[in-house]
Amino acid sequence: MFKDNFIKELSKITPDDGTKNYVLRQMNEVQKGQTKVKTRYRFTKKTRSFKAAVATVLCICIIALSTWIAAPSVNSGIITSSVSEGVPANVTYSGIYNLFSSIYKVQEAPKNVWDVIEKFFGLNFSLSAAPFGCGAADGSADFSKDVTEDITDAETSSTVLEDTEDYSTTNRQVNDVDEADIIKTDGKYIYTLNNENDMVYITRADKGKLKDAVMFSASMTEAASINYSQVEEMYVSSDRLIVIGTDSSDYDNTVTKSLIYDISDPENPKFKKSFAQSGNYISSRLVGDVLYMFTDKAFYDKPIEDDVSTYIPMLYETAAPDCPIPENNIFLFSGEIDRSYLIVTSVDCKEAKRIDSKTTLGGGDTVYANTESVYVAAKETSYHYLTDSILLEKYRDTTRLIRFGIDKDKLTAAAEGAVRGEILNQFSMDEHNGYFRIVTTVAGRITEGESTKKSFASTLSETTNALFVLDRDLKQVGSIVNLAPDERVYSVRFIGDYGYFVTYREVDPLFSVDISDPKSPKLLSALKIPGFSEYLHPYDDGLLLGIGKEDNYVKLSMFDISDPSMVLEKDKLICYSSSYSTASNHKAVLVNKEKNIIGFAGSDDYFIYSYDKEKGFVQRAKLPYVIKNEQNPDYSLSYSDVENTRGLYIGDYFYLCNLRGITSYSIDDFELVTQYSF
Amino acid sequence: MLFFWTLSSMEGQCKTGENALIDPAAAFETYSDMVYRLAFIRTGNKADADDILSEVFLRLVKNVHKIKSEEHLKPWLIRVTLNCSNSFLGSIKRRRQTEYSEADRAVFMEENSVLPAVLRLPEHQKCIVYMYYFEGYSVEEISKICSVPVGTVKSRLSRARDTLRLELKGENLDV
Repeated sequence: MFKDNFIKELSKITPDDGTKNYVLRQMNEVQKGQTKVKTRYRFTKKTRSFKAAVATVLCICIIALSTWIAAPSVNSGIITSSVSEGVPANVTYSGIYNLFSSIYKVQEAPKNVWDVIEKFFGLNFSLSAAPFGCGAADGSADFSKDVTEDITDAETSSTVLEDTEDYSTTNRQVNDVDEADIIKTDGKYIYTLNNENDMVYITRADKGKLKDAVMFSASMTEAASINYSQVEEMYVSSDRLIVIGTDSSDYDNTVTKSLIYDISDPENPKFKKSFAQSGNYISSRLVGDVLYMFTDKAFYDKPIEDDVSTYIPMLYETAAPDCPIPENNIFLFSGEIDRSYLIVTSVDCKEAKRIDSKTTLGGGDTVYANTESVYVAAKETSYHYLTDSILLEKYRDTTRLIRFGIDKDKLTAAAEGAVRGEILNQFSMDEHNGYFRIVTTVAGRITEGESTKKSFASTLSETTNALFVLDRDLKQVGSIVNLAPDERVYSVRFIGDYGYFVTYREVDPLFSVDISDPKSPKLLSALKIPGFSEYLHPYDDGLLLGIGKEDNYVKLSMFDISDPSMVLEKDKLICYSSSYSTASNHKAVLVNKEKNIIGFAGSDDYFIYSYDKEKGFVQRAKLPYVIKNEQNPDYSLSYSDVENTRGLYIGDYFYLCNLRGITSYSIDDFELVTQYSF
Repeated sequence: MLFFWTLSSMEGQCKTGENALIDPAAAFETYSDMVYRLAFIRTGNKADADDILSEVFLRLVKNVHKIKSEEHLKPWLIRVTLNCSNSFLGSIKRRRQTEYSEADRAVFMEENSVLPAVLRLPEHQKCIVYMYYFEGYSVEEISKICSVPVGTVKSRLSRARDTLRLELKGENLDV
């Protein structure tokens, strides 16, 4: 009878039609490649009304950020670390909040971290007497003695190509900080990571000619049954190939792995070592030879006292014992905390050696990194109750921030803070001359002297946008708040002392704001233009490229930003391709001023434009994703073809790469040179 | 009306490519209830189940090429649902909410209902109870889907039954 009753009761639990309809629409949009749907935070009243807005419009706010911002003027947006504010009285862990707030010191691990973890996870034991960990910088095994494994028979004697020609790199936010992608080049070879079959293809590209060098499997797991591993992205740096992926063959314990290969001879890659850490992949960065990996690990089951892996994130590496993150590397956020950890590790890829690891309770989801600091932002979910028992909706209106100092030898948990509002993506954050800048969309208005407690009635009725300037300790020094009411940030880019951002709704003013005097930001100009930009890219001195949409077609804009008080849309061009949101993945965009190339994926073709100050945008080529031939007699274009296509150049040749193969063109006239299928 | 319109328009737009055997829209029609229920069993509330439902099917759209056959689809969806719901668990705020939703449950459940008892089970056991009783999977199948040894599935199931027997009354004792 249990079974019958269970089935009967559970059958009543179904998604309502509104939800179904909404999900189907999202699926449809993703399928058409139009939208990058942000995960979660979808079912609020607010979001729905945005989706319902038929006319989308743009405004650009230009903010001159002065680096000498010194006088803190507006404090209203910052969240202080007051702890139990806004927490209902009957929260189970109310005692812990105070504990966290009183012991939290980000510079050093609190002495009684174990007391906290014990209570936090409802454990009843004491570990404080028995510290664990792998010892400081242990595992510094001699690289030459490491396990190496030939992947291929060394049959090819690699031909030495002449000096590497000029070639393109993955489109990244910060110049010296590499970002992972599925297609990479080192100027001689093109590396393709196929996330559908976990294979790496290495193809030699020599003056447009393509020759297969080698292919091998970079699978994250040896589990044979149903394959739940997933390769994500890779790096190619000097003579290392690094493949990043997740292995969730044990579904309770997803780990993120990096496999390091020696490609000093790219035609004969050798597996060197793999490093892994608990949690789902958030992002990664490569600075010089040092790989930084960010994962998020939630613990949800009652921990087992004897099994440290049930409440502390673990580190794994080839030929070394599994070890939990050392206790003096565990940090705690103040304020409300999720039972999930953000885990940051650094690995020297050249030496195949783990350098450091840090973890903080509280999770994270977006990463900004330059060569000195890493900022990780975490969106906080708040639940809004109509009464004690009825959940009206949940919303996100606080972005928690943590800064890590990065160094060749170590990671330092340096500061924590929080701002009001929700960020769009990694471009919402930037650091310049020691100041951190962040643009957010805020539910409601920020009034001066306001605490974190908000009147829900007002927060739900409108949104505003804000820019905060924080110092390296993540204390607010300046801000502009209540910008563009009822609109939402759509793209952001910081260039030196200036910040640009696009918001949208039904009307389309283009704002220009000067905050060189942080005490009194001034509105400089307002201009109306149709359409909106989803990705902003500094193109040349005084020029800012925007890629976005107008009337559902791709729109290219060139903004003249030489005079911030008079920003103009200098040129624009509508590309009559039903729009594919290149903005959803900046790595799929190729922009190079010297070669005069602007490349991006349209819904049916890959487009290449050039820009000339007199002539404006000129279409140079429209390349098919897949060329019909004997191997592809009747292909049909799939979402994967569009999403996984990258354009790159080496010397005088342009290569269009996706998971099916590579096509090469002469870069001058885009004449087809050759085509190569995997 | 809108609902049906969306469905049909999606079929029109669907570019399935050479390798994709699965039509995401059709999969949604067949399995959305299953994903939603599993997410509900996992998180204990409908708001999170809404989000998980959306995330799972967006992942399906993106990974549809990886699914080799119709038989793989259902286990794939179960696994992804379990993975997606992990990030919704363990939040202190969720704790708070789960307590509230006890009252919620009373609204849509009759007296003597079994669901609250199932929802109170430890995470591992809940999912196995769901797959065993509701989806009718065998212990061996559950072991394959979750990559957990058969012995572990059996012991979790048996512990869940013990707990349920303690909590439930009357006819439901027949777990």
